[in-house]
Amino acid sequence: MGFDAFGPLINILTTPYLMGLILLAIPIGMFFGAVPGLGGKLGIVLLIPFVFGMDPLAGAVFLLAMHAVVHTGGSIPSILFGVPGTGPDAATIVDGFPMAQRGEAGRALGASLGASGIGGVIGALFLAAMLPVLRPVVLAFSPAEFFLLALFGITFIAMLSGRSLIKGIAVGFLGILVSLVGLDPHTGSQRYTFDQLFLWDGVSVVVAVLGMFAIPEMLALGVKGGSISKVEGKAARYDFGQVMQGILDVFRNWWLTLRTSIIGAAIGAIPGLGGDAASWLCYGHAVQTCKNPENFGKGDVRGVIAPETANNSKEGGSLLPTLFFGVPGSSGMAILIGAFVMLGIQPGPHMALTGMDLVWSLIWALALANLLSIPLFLAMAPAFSLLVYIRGALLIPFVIVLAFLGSYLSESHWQNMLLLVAIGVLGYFLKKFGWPRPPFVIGLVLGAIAEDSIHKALAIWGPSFLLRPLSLVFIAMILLTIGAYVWKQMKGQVADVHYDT
Amino acid sequence: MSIMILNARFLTTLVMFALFVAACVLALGLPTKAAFMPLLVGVPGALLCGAQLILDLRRGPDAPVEADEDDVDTSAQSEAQAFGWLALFAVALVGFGFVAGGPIIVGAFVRFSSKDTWKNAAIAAGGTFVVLWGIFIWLLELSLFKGLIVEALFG
Repeated sequence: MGFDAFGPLINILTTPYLMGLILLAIPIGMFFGAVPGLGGKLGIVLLIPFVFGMDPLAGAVFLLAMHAVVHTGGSIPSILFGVPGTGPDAATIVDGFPMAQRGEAGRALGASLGASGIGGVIGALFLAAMLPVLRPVVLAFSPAEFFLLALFGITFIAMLSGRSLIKGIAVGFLGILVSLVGLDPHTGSQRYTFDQLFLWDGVSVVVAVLGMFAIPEMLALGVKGGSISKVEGKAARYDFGQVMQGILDVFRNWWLTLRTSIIGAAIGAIPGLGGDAASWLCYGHAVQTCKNPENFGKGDVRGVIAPETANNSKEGGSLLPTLFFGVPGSSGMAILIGAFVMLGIQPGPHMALTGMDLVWSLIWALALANLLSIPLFLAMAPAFSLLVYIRGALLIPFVIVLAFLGSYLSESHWQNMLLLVAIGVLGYFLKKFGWPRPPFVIGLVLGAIAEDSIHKALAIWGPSFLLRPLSLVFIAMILLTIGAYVWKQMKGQVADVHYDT
Repeated sequence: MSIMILNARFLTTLVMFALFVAACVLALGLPTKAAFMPLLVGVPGALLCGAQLILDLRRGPDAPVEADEDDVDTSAQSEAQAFGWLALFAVALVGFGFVAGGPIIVGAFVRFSSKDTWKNAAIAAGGTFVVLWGIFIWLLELSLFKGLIVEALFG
């Protein structure tokens, strides 16, 4: 880790604009985490219009810093009200809410804050430590492997993202099909453009992401009626001394903190496992390995520390496949890729050669956001606890207008707003009938890479590219994934993991 | 209600199937190289959706809906209202642009859909105008869409 690594850190620290953006992103991220039902995905989607036209580095740092601290804010309603801000924060309730009920809300919040901050920093360090290992691996990949990696990514994420592998893969393939809209790069012929000039450059990833996520969520909220938050009653009271005690608890349990941070980061690096798996696995790990396991579930501070470290450390891990393979580590990262593309950053193997400055900047932004979130949280936690009462009915129109704005600004074509509506309606029904939507975004992002790769692979090796050693490994992994799914389904054990974060 | 849900579920799968079939049919008219990837993805996609169609048909009308979220209300009336509002947002923003259409449609939504007071609707509309004009036009110096109707009327 030489100047190559620390240069970007110095750049961030000495650039008031970048530091200001990180400081601005933290309360915004906490807001999206603290209001039950919003979450980091919607946060990125809604901030896309605001980063339009920004310098790529500044925009990426801003969005990543915001996304990094969502779960820090998400612990507030989990502990104070027993209502998770986001899916992965549910594990925090098991011990956090009982602590609040017996008058230790401040201690639980402090433990959550300290664990989130340290977990996030360790996740960033995990990412940094993996770079020397990952770089030669990425550079060793040929077009054949990248094509199969794209297929594997879709298969793997489809399996983990819902109860139907068929639906998941089909949606992933639809994403690839949509990525093929526009002028064919090899022949120059129009493909699925229907003589519409605005489609010549293809369907904007931003429009597709906004259509698949923001519009269906708001439609579902409008159909459901009522408020976005189901929180009732008053928040538990706490004082500052308790918060400090909770932060110290994290250091008293440093070995658990370190273990769960590393486990969380490693889980994050596996595409598709996501935050639910990270937080619950780490909670289970704490129960299995700590003394007096009978205290868990009754308000044990270790039951807050374990899931909270994992929630934040997984973000560092999930950046690995996202940045270097273009395979998002989570659905939040899938949307982040869309935003990166809009900013002019194309994640993929070339990042290992030409984008390391940006990679290091993102690592440091991740670490700084998590560190700086601690004092900001301490200052703003009482105000955040009021955010859970926000009315969904007032949120819907603003979110929809911002979604339209984002789709227009992505390419300055008004027709994109109509495309947004069409994709949004499709996305609503996909959501309603259990078709997982994250594979669509992943297919859309990977489609161009997959097409380019398969044409190159066929030109170099012909169909025998499928027999290359690494290709065979990927084919085996795809078959194993499908086989594991079929086996689980036959045994009635298909994981009910929601691809939520 | 359950028959309606089954039909909607079946229709969703049918739309997915139709999208893949249409993509394959359109790809047949393309040069070989340009058609390669669409067919490589479209044919298995159509087969998968065809298999899903069979699964949907074999399921009874009482089969549980595999909703992505826990509690998606399937009331046809509220669904129609939500789609109606989405259409109104599209008409307002495409027709009158962001600065004019945005505040109007936000205010209308707060007043008539959320059934809030006129005062809150006006505050929401004003807030939308401030964000759209203040942040995007004044601060970020972006050029926002003025709307097809506004452009046709005022050039």
